[in-house]
Amino acid sequence: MYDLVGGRAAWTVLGLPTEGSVGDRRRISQFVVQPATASLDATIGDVVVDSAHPHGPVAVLGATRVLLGALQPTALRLPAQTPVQRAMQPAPATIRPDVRVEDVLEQLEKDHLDHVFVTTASGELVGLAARDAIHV
Amino acid sequence: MTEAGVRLGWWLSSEEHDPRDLVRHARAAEDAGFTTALISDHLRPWVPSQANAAHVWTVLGAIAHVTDAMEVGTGVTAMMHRTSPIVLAHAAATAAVMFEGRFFLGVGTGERLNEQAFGERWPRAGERRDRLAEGVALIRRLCSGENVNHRGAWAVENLRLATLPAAPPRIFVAASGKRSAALAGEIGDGMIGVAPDGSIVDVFRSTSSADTPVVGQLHVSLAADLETARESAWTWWPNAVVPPSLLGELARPEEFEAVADAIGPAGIDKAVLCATGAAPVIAAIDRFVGAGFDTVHLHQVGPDQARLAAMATGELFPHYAHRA
Repeated sequence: MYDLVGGRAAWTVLGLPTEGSVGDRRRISQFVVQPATASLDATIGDVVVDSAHPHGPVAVLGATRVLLGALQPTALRLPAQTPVQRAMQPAPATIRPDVRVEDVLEQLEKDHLDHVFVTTASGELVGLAARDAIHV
Repeated sequence: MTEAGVRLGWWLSSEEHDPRDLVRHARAAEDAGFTTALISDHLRPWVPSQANAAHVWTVLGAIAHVTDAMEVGTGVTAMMHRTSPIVLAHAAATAAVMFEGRFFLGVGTGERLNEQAFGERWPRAGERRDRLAEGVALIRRLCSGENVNHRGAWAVENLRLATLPAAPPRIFVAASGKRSAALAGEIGDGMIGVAPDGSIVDVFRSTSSADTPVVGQLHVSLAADLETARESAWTWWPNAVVPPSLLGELARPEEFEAVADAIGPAGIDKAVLCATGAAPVIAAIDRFVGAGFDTVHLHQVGPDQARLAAMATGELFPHYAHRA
């Protein structure tokens, strides 16, 4: 049971389940993959890359899985003791989980991007929308 | 450096140094342990106080002669009014022969500063990107030994270059925005960037393979104390405070000087890393690598080039060699 002040829009951008003509099936939240993650206080030596997506970005998370930054895979070339916080790109671009998948694909194409992080309205990581992982 | 490590490069600033010094600096960089370098290609300095802008291809010939292992590229050459794809392909092919595989060609959409002397119209960025794409395609054909006929922004009539390297030089494309990054991914063998901006690398990666090189430029002013470092940065590289949107548009060194003077030196250490030790330099390199760059070229502003060489040998290379 959820009790959310703010209506349907606030509900969907938090990634909560929906029904109706669009429902969940066409929302990007159904197509995300889970990127490798690292905590803000970790070092490069702590980062473990997902072998299934070795070229994808690493999400840097704070408390309650709030997305704070991103590391490109090249960061793993740095010495192991390098603080993640120093090498990360702060505040990467994000979209909300309720965006329709067709709109995401169109925007990625327009922006010349392969992927974009998906977060809830409160900044918690939902996953990574990656073009090569979206089959519609 | 291991194959998967961080690579540090040396920036040879044609705007600041006498061409004979550039040749000496290249040799010193190789002796210090650098395996890659970029040399800027300017017709005029950014500001009058820099007082240099040697013909880069002449200097490259001398650098090829005095170095043995370091690869060198242009950072970067434009094809607008000053240089045509024919002239550039001819120069690049010869440089590639002279360097015996150690040369790469860096290209970009150029700056009005280096083109206005020809008295021609300065095209907008989109047109310059189109010309760059056309020029790169022509250079690839010419450097591979093809007999080329072409009509477009440039004409090439029945030309086959006679002096050719064993393999055509790699072509790196400069990018400071998302449109040029997308173009770099489409037509380049690598990208040259000027800021640790992961969003630009993301765009480049969307049209390039995962292992295509991404190289960056980091301006540093290293000195015995911070005040001297700031003074040197302002004396030799005041153009660093000029907004990026103006870099391609101003026509004369005096205009860059006037804009820099109007802005003032207060922000110079935000545009040029002023430091006395290696720690802030390492932190800045780490930001480039975290943003997706595999090579970072260090540009020590001013005449004290030996200070960077000593820091690299004593601290930077050992730091990045120890990854485990």
